[in-house]
Amino acid sequence: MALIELKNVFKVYESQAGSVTAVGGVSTSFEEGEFTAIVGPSGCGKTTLLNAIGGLDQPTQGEIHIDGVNIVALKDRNLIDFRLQHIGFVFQAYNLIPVLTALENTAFILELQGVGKKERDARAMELLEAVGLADRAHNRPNQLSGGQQQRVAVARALASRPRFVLADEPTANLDSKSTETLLDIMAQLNDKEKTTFIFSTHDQRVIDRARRIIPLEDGKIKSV
Amino acid sequence: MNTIRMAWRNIWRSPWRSAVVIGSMSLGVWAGITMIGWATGLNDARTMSMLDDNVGHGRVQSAAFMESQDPRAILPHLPAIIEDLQRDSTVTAFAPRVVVQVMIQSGSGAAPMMALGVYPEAEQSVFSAARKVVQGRFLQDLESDEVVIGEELAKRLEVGIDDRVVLTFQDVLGEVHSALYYVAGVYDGASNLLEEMMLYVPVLNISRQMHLVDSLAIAENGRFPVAHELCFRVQEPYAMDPSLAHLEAQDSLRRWNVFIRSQIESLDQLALDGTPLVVRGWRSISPELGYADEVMAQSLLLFMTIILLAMAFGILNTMLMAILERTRELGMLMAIGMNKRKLFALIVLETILLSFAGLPIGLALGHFTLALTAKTGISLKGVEKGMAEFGIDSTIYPVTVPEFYLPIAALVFVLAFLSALYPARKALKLNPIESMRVL
Repeated sequence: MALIELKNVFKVYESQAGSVTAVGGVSTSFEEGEFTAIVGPSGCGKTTLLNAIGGLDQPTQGEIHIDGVNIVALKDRNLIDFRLQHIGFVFQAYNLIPVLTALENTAFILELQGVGKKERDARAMELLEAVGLADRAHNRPNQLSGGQQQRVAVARALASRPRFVLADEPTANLDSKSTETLLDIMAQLNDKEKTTFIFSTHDQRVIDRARRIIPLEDGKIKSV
Repeated sequence: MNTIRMAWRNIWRSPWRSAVVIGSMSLGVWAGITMIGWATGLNDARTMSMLDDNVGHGRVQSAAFMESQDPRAILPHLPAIIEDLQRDSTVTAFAPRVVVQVMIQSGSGAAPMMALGVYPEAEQSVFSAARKVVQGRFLQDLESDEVVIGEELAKRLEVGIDDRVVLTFQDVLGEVHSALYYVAGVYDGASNLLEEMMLYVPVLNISRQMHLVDSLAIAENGRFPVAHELCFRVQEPYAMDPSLAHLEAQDSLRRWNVFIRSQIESLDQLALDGTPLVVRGWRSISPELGYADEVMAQSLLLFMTIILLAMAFGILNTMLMAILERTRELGMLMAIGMNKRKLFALIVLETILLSFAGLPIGLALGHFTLALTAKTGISLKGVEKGMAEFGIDSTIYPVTVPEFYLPIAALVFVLAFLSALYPARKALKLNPIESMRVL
């Protein structure tokens, strides 16, 4: 059974100007351990599709099964818990918590899960070492560069050993060097921890490193 | 990283804004505490003035006299009761009194009065009204035909020192009796009302005229032969309940109750001196003074609530701004799995911490201000005359009010919680995706 299975997923936005179909009937699946990029130009529906997979946005139609659970049918309260337990997120704008240090940001998800301080700090430090930021563990986000912040965001996404990580344009705000470093780290973690990564991107450097590419055009998967 | 620490750090993301809120909370609490201390000091001064002037801290009466003011219901076995009072270390002074309803007449008018038959020295040791004689002098013996009246009454009856007045009263035999008295002095009471309703006469003179005692009883009962009531002062009038319990346990009060009951000769006799003796504190003697204390405390708390309510709106506004500024972050927190309960707790905690940060500062400042002014006093010379009407000195001595600190802390907590509800509700209604799009 696939880790993630999308069945005829639609997302239609209603507005006064009429309806806009952001995702128009996507059906696909993702296996465990994939390193996949959903690619396409701006406005093609990449982020909307990623948000739907992450349970952040409710599809207008269709089903999304994760480990056999149709998350579309989950109630809001259960969906938040499902995200906490199963999904890691990396956002384009890093979105770290400004009042927490790198270590505290990384351990934050574990704290939400109720993991004890000793255990979560050990795991957070292990991940910060993996992303090369052990020496910045006690720095707050405003003391870190954009690339470093995104590496902390990756560490945070992986802290709870999620079933998969969704990364929305993770390199969009990074320079070439930081992008390469980040991609190296994610590839290593994919190998080492067998974590599934799904990116939305139009960055060629990410596309080049992806093992599977899903091209999206006008909300639909383009046949290649 | 626990929620409290995160909430605390969030407060200091806008240090100036938080400092302003904390500062205003401190000032509000300071102002409230100071106002409460001053008002309590003023009320205490008024209460003490009334107690000193004519109420006393406590009284012993027979239940019969207390119930009906029957002039026949004199205190039985007075020397034994006095002996017990003198033995009690909490009692600092006492004054036996005879109380008679009289009509006073002069050439210019008449007025119903309460005549106090007093032992001058004892009366002056307990009551300040007997010491504040502004014309003439106070009574000097127990048997003269002298009277000391209040300033207002003197004006009303147009009498002065050495003028004659007639007191008319009913003696214990039911006969109406009139007696001529000379004005020996004019006292300055705590209030005009008091001066118009109370006068002093020598105890033995009025007692004889009332046929309350005869020469034999006077000779037998020593220094204080007769009284309807025994007024006393204690060291701490605000903590006198233990004194009362102590007094009630005294031998004379217990012994004579039992003794008198066992010697009942008739129901009439029981009504007069067979009923139990009653020891009452000032709250019972003059309930309006006790009520004033309670009403004052409640009014002050209400006033404090209004101050804090105004503060709460400031805090609510600050928290709304904080939520607005952190929309993106709150959306992210929900996206990565922070549930609504934890988000609610975070915002409520931030609000409570913000509110509580100013509380100890305000309490400490208020306490310090009160402790300082309690020594120096605050002079209100401008309203001296008006305050004197109520028998209050123009210098107010505020008191520290630690008994209010806990209720105020509870008020701050409740109001902070209430003011957190609306911002928290706004935060909980955020949509993670839409929030994260906010720049």
